[in-house]
Amino acid sequence: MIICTSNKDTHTMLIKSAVLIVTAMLFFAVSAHIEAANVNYAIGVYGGLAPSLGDDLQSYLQYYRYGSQSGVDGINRTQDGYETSNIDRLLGLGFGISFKTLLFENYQIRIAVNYTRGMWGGEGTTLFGGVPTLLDCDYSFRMYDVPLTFGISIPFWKDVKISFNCGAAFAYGWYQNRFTENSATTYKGKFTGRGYPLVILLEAEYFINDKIALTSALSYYRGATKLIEDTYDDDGNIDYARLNFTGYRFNLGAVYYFISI
Amino acid sequence: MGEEIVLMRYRVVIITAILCMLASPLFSQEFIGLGMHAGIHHDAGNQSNQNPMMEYEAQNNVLVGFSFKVNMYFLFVRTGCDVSFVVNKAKVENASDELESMSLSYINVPAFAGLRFPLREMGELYMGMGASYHIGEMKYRLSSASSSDESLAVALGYGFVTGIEFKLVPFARIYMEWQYYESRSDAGIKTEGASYNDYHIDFSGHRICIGAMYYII
Repeated sequence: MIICTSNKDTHTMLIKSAVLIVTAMLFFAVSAHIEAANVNYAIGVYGGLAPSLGDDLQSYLQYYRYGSQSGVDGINRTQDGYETSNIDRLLGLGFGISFKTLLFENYQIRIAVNYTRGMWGGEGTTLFGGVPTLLDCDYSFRMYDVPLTFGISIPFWKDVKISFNCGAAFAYGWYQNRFTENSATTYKGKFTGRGYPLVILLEAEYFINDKIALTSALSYYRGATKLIEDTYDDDGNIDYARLNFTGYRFNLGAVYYFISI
Repeated sequence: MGEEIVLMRYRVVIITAILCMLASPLFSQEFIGLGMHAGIHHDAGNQSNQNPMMEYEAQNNVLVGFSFKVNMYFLFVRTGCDVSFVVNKAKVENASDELESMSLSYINVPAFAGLRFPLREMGELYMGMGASYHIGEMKYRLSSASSSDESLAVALGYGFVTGIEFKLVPFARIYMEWQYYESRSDAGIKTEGASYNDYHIDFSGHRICIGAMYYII
């Protein structure tokens, strides 16, 4: 078979081939260098707390019907003669598993899978309306997220490592609220959605031997979904809300290094 | 009789040596510390969380306090007390039928536990979480009122602490830390002319502190 090509095509093909070869050579050179530099891997498990899970849990119904401009923060009201109870922001309990690749000892790529669920708060009785009417409120929020972060890790002898990471996460959440007016009319909202919050992570590791370390991490997420319409239609009301992933997470756990540090 | 005295002396020496051996790791670990610190708290009262539409000049507080810290290998427990004073009160700048100005001063008693990461003779990094108890007084003035009013509140919340200690001299360190709290009272202030209280006192927020800690053991 004879393939006829012009000089220009030949020139383009040569350039593409050269780029490909150079890229491959660079890839193998870097890989070999990385191999020589003793790449290390680590896997960790942890659990901890997430204050203000879902942030203020604001929704359209709370704003227009119950007069709260800031969700759970603004919905609390009291008056003598009415039995109310404070509705706190959700305090979440979370756990997760992480996998880290350490390059040249100081640089790391970290991916994790976390599950967090609101465990405390988000429940109580308040008042609304010109003539005070009792309102039972119930909020729940849960989410999982997969943060991918890149960072710098500083070892202090073989005792301690401190690392700072930045990146983003894929987060998927479920938010539900329920408002019962005067123990009669009930409005429910159910929202699900995904977002890509920014993630900042400060992590410290205390080595109890060459491969196992106790770890403590403080992370900050910032981001929310777009406005989502509620999927619960039986109450004849349509509510709108964002799932807000913004907040701090504090975790304690352990990490195992595949190669001794 | 003489042999008994000699044996007694030996026992005293041995027991003293054992006690010294037991105590030395405690000394090397810097076991119990007493510290004093000062700090700042920006946006005390956290007004924007209750009314996002409010445009206001945020309140700033300074705080002074003491801390009591116990180190146990890679763990620490810490408590203390902070007193927070108003530097400038919050002033609402947009037309509002709610608050015109407010100032919050408070006492905070935190109790943290967490992990510490000793950096040999240099100092340590520590990260912990725990509970906090706030007692505060908020002075406020409603737009419609001619005089100020005040409200007292208590709140049980929780928080984090993350900081570093740097060794200056044996048994004494300087520390700098970040504290974050989530702590809100019940609604206790009427703002909208409604018959119910609709405004709570919010102690939540960030504090930055710097201080010195002396390890007594």
